[in-house]
Amino acid sequence: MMGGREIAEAERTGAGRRVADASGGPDPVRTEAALAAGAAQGRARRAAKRRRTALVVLTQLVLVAGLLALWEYGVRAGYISGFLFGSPSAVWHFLVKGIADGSTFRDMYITSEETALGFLFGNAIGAAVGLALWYSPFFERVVTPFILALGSIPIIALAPLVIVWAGTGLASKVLMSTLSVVVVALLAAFDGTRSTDPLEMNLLYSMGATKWQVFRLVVVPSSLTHIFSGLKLAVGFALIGAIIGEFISSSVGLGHAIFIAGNLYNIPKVFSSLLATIVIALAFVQIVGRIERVLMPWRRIAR
Amino acid sequence: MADGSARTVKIEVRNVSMVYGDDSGQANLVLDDVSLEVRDGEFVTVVGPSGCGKSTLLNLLSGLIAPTTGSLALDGRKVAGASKNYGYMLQRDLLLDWRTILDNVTLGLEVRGTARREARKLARTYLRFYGLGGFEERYPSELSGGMRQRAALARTMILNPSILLLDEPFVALDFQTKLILESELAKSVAAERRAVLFITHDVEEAVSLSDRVLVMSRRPGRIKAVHEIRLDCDRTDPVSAREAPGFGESVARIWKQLEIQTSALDMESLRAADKTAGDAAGAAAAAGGAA
Repeated sequence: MMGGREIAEAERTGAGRRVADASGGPDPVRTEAALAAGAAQGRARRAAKRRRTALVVLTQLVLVAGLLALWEYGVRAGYISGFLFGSPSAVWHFLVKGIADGSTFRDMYITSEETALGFLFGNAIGAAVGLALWYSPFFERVVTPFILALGSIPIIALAPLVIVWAGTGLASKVLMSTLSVVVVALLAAFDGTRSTDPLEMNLLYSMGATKWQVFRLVVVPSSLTHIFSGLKLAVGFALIGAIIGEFISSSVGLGHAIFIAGNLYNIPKVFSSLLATIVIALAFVQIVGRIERVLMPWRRIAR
Repeated sequence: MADGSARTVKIEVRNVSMVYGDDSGQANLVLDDVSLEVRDGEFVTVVGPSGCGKSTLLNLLSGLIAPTTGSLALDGRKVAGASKNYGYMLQRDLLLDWRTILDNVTLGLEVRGTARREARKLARTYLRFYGLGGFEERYPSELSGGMRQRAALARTMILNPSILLLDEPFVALDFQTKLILESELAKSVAAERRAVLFITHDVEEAVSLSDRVLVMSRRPGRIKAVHEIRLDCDRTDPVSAREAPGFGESVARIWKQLEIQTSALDMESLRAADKTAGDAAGAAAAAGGAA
């Protein structure tokens, strides 16, 4: 080991480069080498990550293809009843046919419209009421049992009433969808208000804020996280409501198509409509995710 | 202080007792007949062992909870129900996650209805002053603990509060950051003659910053001693305060009065007591927020 004075001496004379490595300052050559090695390691890590992702996707594709092949083989070889379970080729046939004659897109459009409207109304009403319950603990205690009662009704049990009151057209499906969303949305929003940090509220009060300001500046934004986690659930609920509405009474929509095909034992057609339904559901979840990222930019960072 | 009587009392606690009753009817005395006064330009610190009710005192002053007996006033007005205007800093910075640093600093101005442009302009000045220039558009989650607490300090000082209630605001920071923020606080307090009630368990911090240190006893919390601190140095420099003659003696004297005990059994009972107080305060805060 060298003393501090010796190192200083060595550095001043430039003679100590080779011996200073034990306890001296950085050698530019070594620094460069370390930087290059670090960059290479980073590139290697990224490449490894890409390889892992590719492997996952590949495995998923192989899994699906394998299952489909097994299914098709089972039907053709007579191990599985094609009448009861359909077959991938038959499902494909109905998919192509539905796309060619436009019926699949029409059904998807109708069901999406019902789902989107029900989703919007249900969430708007639910979130507004859920947030407003924060304002009056008395009102909250009064209405809580009614909300829970409404939430506990299986949505399908309301269908006959909804059809009678709102007719067999778009309105009844939107109402079904709204009803199945509204309680979830309300509870999510209300949970959000309850989880507001009391110290953050007190900070606002310390600045002389009114209750309305505390509500607007703290309670609502801090509830957004809860509201958005509710939204993702609500996509499913909205779709269920719309499809049940179509099951009960309608002339178009994916629910209608599934219902009719099921009654006619047209299993491949049921599967092709189910696929279309899954596409809608995934699209909605994607859209909600986008909206969430736009509305809550602070969540994109460092989480 | 010689000129003390000429100054207005900004923070007043008079004969306050706090009892938490539980459902079984057992009464738990947390604060026992506590009285104190802070006049404008005065920096008063309360130190005490954990669980002595220091934070309860602050919750009472901020109106989160009501005292069992006694009265509290800020700026001559009773705490309960009065419209509030005081600076408030805790160990947690309470920056709102969904607002940028700039928008966090303008929060109080927004509450007061200051024009947005004017508020943002002022906030930029404060952020630069507290060394956060360039971080205006960042979110709190992107900043280090020390930077976040600076932003909280900027948010507090931008309102130019005549009263500051501070509950261990620097306790979670590293020593260097803590000294810097202490110094910034002390300068701002001295320049604007603010009245400060500072709560801490850090005796050195208390002595270096304060005109007066109140020592609280173990639960039930009572004020058992009052120390006037006179250090012959620049009080806005916490490093020179720590080197001033008399600093060490004051710290040692106060330490002795703190009755720090560390047997395992004692720690258990303290934790239990802390928990009851914390729960009660939390519940009261939730109820108060919604009321």
